[in-house]
Amino acid sequence: MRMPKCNSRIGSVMLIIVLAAFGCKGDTPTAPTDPVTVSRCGLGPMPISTTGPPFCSTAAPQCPQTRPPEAQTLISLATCVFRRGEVGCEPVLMPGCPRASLAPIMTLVNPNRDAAHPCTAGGELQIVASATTDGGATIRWSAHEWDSVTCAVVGPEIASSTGIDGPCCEKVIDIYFPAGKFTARFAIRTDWQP
Amino acid sequence: MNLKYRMIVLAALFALTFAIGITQLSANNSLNDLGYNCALDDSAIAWYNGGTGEYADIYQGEAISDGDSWNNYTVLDLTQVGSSGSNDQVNSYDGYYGFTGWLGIADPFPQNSCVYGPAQVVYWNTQLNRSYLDSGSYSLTNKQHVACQELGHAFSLAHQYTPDTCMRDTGALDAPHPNAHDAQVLGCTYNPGASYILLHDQWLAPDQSVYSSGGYYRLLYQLDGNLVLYRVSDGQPVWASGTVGTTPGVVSMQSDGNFVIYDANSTPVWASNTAGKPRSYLMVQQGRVAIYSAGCAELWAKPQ
Repeated sequence: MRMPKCNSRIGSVMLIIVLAAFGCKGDTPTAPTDPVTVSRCGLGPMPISTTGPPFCSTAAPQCPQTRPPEAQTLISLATCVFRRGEVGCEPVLMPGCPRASLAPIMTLVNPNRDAAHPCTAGGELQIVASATTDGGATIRWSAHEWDSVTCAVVGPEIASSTGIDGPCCEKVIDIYFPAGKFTARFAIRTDWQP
Repeated sequence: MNLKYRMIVLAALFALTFAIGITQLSANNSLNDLGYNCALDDSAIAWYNGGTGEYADIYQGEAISDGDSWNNYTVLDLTQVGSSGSNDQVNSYDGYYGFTGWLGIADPFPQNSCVYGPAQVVYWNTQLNRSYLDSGSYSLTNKQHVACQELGHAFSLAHQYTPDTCMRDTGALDAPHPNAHDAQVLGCTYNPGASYILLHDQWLAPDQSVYSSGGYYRLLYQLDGNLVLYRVSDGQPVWASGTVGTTPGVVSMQSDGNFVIYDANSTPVWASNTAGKPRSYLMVQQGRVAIYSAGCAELWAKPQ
């Protein structure tokens, strides 16, 4: 019996084994599983979230001015998700002030929720960002994906890390959830204040 | 690939999955054990309900008022305060935060970093995103589950794999309460010095008792020699040692890990048979009594 040709790239080793055993029956082409990263620097002052509570009233971002060595680093986080068939989404700032370290844990929506994929949440994502002495940031993330039909955890933990080299920079990272066929996008941006 | 080979591969896969599942089931779901030293100072935590409308009620139930709330079901001793704060506190909010991709978020505020360092978190915020939750697609149970889960994170818990808890790693969002495993881990995280704990080398004399957190259950060493766990609300016994008729002596949580009833002649009349685990302790929980090792493993529990 010949294997049908797969048109999916699957990030989970287990999923690959299953597909190798039974053939691939993916209904749509899927996005790459490796994080897609976009970096840029030389940015102006970081925007401050206007949503709340909690509201931010104390941040005073100074980019693109040169950061003095003793300055406090500010890190902001913006997130969004987009589903299969969509090309992207515009990250929305997390409420509250930017600060020197972040470690939020998020319960993600299931953006493909419908009668056939009834689970209310799509996964969990934790992002840990900490300022470095040069005004940049280290970034780590880990995620669990939940099957959109059974709601059970599926696949291995998705985890990786990266960094931002200095102030007034932004890194946008896409994390693909292969079973649910959606992407979580987050943007980490650096700035500073006296 | 022939069919026989595929079946061998699948059998190996399922064996691997099962092995991983066993590992996960036995895993401690403390954020501290996962490398995040995010626990607040102790189990006495100030909590601010900044929720509005329906979400104020949801938070209130999950944190404080429900019988199986974090406050009533676990070692946590939440004190509700009237304003947000940053001193050993959890602040809970809801809002229209936009299409952020998250239903709920738990956000720690460390003095420096709560990653791979000493416990430095001074407060947490939890937020429920009404931009999604008010869309009509989410039931009250879903909303309660998310609130329960974000609060659980703020109390230092990660996801886990035992059933029937809002901390379970699942997208169903249908279990808006902690379970015994969560209670156990929190008991270990926040130093088991509370009144519902019988530490090693502690004991009960006849007619003495230990109450569960919130006073919902009572473990009483009766004058008739029986050790009985009662539900306080209606006085119904939930479990008994079956030693009625013995002359009461002492009930001892021994330093060797064994929980033993001795009669008045110092003769053991009943034991949990958990010796060999030094520094274990006994915890009176909601509807059960259990013994945990110093490393938080459950050694014995009644009713099962």
